[in-house]
Amino acid sequence: MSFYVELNNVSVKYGDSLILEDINLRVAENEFLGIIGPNGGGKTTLLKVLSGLIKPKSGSVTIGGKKIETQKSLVGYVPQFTSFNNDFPINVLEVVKMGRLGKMGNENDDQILKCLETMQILNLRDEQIGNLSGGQKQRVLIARALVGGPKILLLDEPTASIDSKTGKSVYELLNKLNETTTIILVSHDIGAISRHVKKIGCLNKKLVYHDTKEITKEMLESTYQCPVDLIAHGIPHRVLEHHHQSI
Amino acid sequence: MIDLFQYDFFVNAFIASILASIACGIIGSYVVVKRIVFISGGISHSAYGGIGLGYFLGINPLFGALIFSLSAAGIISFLRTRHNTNEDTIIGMLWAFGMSLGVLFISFTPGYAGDLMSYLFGNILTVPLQEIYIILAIDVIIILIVALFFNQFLAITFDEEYARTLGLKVDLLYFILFMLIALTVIVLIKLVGIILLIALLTIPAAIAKHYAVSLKQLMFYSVAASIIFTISGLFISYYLNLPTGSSIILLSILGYILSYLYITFKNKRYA
Ligand SMILES: Nc1ncnc2c1ncn2[C@@H]1O[C@H](COP(=O)(O)OP(=O)(O)OP(=O)(O)O)[C@@H](O)[C@H]1O
Ligand SMILES: [Mg+2]
Repeated sequence: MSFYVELNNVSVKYGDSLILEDINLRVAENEFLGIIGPNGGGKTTLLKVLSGLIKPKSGSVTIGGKKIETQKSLVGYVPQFTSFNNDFPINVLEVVKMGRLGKMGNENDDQILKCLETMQILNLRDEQIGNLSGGQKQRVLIARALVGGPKILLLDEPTASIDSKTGKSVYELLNKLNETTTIILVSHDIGAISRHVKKIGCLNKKLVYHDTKEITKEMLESTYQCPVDLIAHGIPHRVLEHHHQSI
Repeated sequence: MIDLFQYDFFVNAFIASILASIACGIIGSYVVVKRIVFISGGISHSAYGGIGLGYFLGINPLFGALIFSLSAAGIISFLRTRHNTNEDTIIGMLWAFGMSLGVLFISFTPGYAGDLMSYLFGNILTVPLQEIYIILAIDVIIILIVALFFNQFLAITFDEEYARTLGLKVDLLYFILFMLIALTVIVLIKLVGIILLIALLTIPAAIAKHYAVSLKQLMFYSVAASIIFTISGLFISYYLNLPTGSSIILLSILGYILSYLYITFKNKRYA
């Protein structure tokens, strides 16, 4: 069984406005794709298409050649924002366990606890979800996506409100998971992205995507439509590649 | 007080109150955590159309109410799948449609619609044995389905979007949940009536929410609170010769206020 992800001519509209235009993308198994782009560029929309939450207006979305609707149990999704009710009577452990609903495989509770430990929320397991800080909640969301043992992991700004120490361990964990899991990650943290991903795409309605992890000035300029050196700290060309080599 | 239990009507009312509290506490918990009070109001008020139809056709009004509340639940769960931005307005219409139809049917019905008031405001002291069996059957259905789909219902009420990414049949699960709300409405009509039942459905769960740390706990506390209010309402109304439905609801509201004050006070002290 193969788990490559494929989008063919995918377009998404909200009402009359075109949000994603003619996206073509093929993500191989155990790929690590980073997606960057300006606010409102459609990154979250793209991940929602990949998780089957949004049906595109046209085009096809498949995993391993099969329609996404039938393959949802392979996908783990970490949303950008929590979509739940904060005063729901539920603790952290129960929320994380929910990630296993409808999934194949039967990891035992030890593995759930291990997952909590990795995300450094083991001590919070009995805490009510509404009592957590923003960053703690984000860790719960990541843990919830991981316990289902996904073959494809979609992360929407997973480290946006996480402190740098945990953020670093999240990326280390992702690199380890990547040995057996396809990862598609949206982030504004170009530095972190360039350090950890294998390939990069820039999304602003259209997807600019090359088979390398190098970000070119042209890619950024066409995506962000603003002076690149804002992003690249004044070193226009290949700055991210350079950054990478320096590590 | 023991003497009271010599009367069949009181024993029936006592049993019906406890059985109705079970359905009410379980389903009310979902209504409160998912904040679908308005939807539940639509489902319950539209049942009045069925009451009227029952009178008009000369069949048991509760049967008519069942048809109407189940249909309203079906229509509302269909509306949700369409992501209609006017969902609220349409539910409001459904609500008024049922009530108007009920009034219309009753105006067509010759003679005096004697215990109409008991469907609007409840009269548990007149519940016949046959209706106790109906309430029992509905309890069994609710307990079985909730036990079977507990985790699924938890997922869709806690985080609907995430439940969709898990591949759960969210729309179907909501359809089932709304059907259970419709059944609970039927259970509560005799107890407190169509107008007041939304209060009994939600107040015990709202009180329980002050203390519960899990959905299961919320359900148990809600059932307990509901039993306390209905039973004490029953005694008060009997001894003081007050309407049962109003007594139960006024007690529940008093209970909510006391619990709210207690929680606020406690949090202030330890904050
Ligand atoms: N539910 C919605 N209804 C209408 N328009 C929407 C909806 N969700 C998003 N949009 C629009 O779609 C566009 C893309 O939104 P999206 O959330 O995908 O952007 P993003 O790249 O994730 O941005 P950010 O970096 O701020 O997270 C935006 O212009 C937004 O206004
Ligand atoms: Mg976004």
